[in-house]
Amino acid sequence: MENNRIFWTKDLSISFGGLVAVDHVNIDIARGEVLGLIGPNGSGKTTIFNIITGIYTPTDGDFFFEGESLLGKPPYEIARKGIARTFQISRLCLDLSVLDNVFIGMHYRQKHWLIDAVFRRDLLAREVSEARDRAFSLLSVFNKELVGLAGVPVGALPQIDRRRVEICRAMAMEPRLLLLDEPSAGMTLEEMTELMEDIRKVQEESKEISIIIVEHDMTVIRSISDRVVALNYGRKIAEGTCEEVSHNTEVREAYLGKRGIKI
Amino acid sequence: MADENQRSQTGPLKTVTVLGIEVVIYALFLALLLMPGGEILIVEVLLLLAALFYLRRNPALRTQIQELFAANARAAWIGGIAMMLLVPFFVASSPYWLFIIIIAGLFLVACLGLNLQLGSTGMVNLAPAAFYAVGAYTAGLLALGWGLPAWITLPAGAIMAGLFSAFLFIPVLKTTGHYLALVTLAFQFMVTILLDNMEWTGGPQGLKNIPLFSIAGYSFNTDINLGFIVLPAYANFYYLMLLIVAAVGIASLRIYNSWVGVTLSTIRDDEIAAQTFGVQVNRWKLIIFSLGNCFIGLAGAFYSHLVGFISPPNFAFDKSLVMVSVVILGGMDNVFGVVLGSLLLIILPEKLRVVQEYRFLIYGVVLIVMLIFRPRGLLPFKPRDFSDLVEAAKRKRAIPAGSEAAEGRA
Ligand SMILES: Nc1ncnc2c1ncn2[C@@H]1O[C@H](COP(=O)(O)OP(=O)(O)OP(=O)(O)O)[C@@H](O)[C@H]1O
Ligand SMILES: [Mg+2]
Repeated sequence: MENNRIFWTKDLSISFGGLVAVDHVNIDIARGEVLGLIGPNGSGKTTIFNIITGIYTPTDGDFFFEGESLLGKPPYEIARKGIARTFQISRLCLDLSVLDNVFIGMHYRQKHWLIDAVFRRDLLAREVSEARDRAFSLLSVFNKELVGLAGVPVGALPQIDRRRVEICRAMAMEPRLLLLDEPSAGMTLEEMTELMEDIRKVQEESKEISIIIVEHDMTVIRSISDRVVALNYGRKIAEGTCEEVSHNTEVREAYLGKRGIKI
Repeated sequence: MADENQRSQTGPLKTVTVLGIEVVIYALFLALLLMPGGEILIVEVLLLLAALFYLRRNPALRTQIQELFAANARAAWIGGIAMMLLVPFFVASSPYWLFIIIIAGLFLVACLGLNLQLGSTGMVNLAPAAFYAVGAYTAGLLALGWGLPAWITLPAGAIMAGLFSAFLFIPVLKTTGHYLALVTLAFQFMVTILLDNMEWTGGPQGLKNIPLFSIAGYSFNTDINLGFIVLPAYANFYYLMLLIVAAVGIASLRIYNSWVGVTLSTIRDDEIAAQTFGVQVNRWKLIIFSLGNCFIGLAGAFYSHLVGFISPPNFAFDKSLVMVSVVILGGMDNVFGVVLGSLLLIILPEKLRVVQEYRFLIYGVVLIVMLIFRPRGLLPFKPRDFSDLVEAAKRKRAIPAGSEAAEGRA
């Protein structure tokens, strides 16, 4: 486990003014593992993702990916190391086509930029055609119909397909660590079941990938995560298998009265 | 299905239809310029509104026309280019209008640069006229001081405008929100005040007697005598303008239709998402801000060699407003929208000489109405479609595979 771990944090903390949103959190994740991150509203789950992707700088502590500290690195550099994410509130570009949205996930692997775009269209064309094939094969993993809709603005798609495009965009980066922030938010039970299958497909596509998934729904967590970490008021209050964590008294108290959650 | 559709849209009759539509639009445009009085304008505006209304009620017809043009793109382009080339012949009798068209072309070049910033990347530049001034004064000073020829002063004007933006704006581009808009605004006023007060730029008198273009001893200030017709001297400038418009226009279209376009759109729509996917947002903003200002500077340099006399009021804030209006009215991130915007906002007001004093009032009203009813402009951003590019790549690969089978397969 120790040698196999791909990502870990060391006393990760951040405060906004007086509010301590993340408080000395230590988590780690092994290669190929799915880690569930749970906690009541406002317990700091999204904030941890924002720190990991470099959007926020922690006020204390450090975090490591493949043995290297990412502290203070800008988001684009962290992305290039191999960490991709989806957002709790979808951040797709709704006016852009499905294809364009997936293309941005391949951004930093693309070779032909301004000069080639203007003067060497043949080189660009070859690269675009390869990238498009790759995008199509990614999209068809989730929903075959998305391939036919590749030219449609994302804003015209139903919620579930938008989530899929968002996951495709993240997968297009070929990340080694994938952060999913409440992928099931606002979905019906059926859509959620489909989505869980989609995420399993992601794992099948790439066995090596490690996933941290934030979820409120315990059925989702139970069915896909290998291990669970529970947060409350920015602190880690429990860690273990899904069963262990859901029977933990502190976790039960944390959720009590907060949100009618089935544990 | 799509293929069948394509076929039914081609054939000699269809080509003639496409060219016919173009000729009608062209004729209406020329009539607007050549017929005296304002009545023609009223008639045409009513015609335009009627046509727009009719197309709105008949979306099927609209898509049919779009498909028609898409299927006969080559004929449409050739027809359009031929008509562009013939403009000086038709307006030979009124050099004034030729001059206005050249000015519209220069605004188009500048606004394509502004569109890269404002339309494609979402960077609000409220000082395009100031960068236009940088290009114009650079070209003017180099030509007057050192007698440098146009083929040096034009690129020099462009590069100087690009350098100015790079140096002045590196600190600003890192900030988010409206700082860039505010700083460009300050830059705009700074440039006009400096130009007014500095000795070496001629102060309020500006620069006089800037040599007009001349290439290899041929002065652009000579009429073109073709025997059967004499084209006014402005025809020289017109064709050079057309060349520059073509170059900048093609570059803009190609940038839009590439990774760069995808990246810029993402930065415009969501900077955080862009960063999270590995986009070096600040770097791209700097590149595009500078490149856009290069286009603007190029247009400015051309301007100083066209009129031979530049002074600070030529580059005041009202010019910036016109350029911003062109992009907003025409269509953000749409090259054809910017073309339409330049034609409408530069040429129509000339027809409205009577209401010259109210020009900015009209701009203001038009902008407000647009922002309410068509906030994305007359020709808004269209989702990119890479299929043409991909098909071209496939065809190219298929041909050598057929003729040089061994190599192609390997
Ligand atoms: N940029 C910020 N400025 C100030 N406070 C913030 C900021 N970002 C997050 N917070 C605060 O930090 C705390 C943790 O928020 P976070 O979004 O991480 O919670 P969460 O666990 O993702 O909750 P949810 O389940 O509702 O998504 C909240 O109290 C929130 O108000
Ligand atoms: Mg959250």
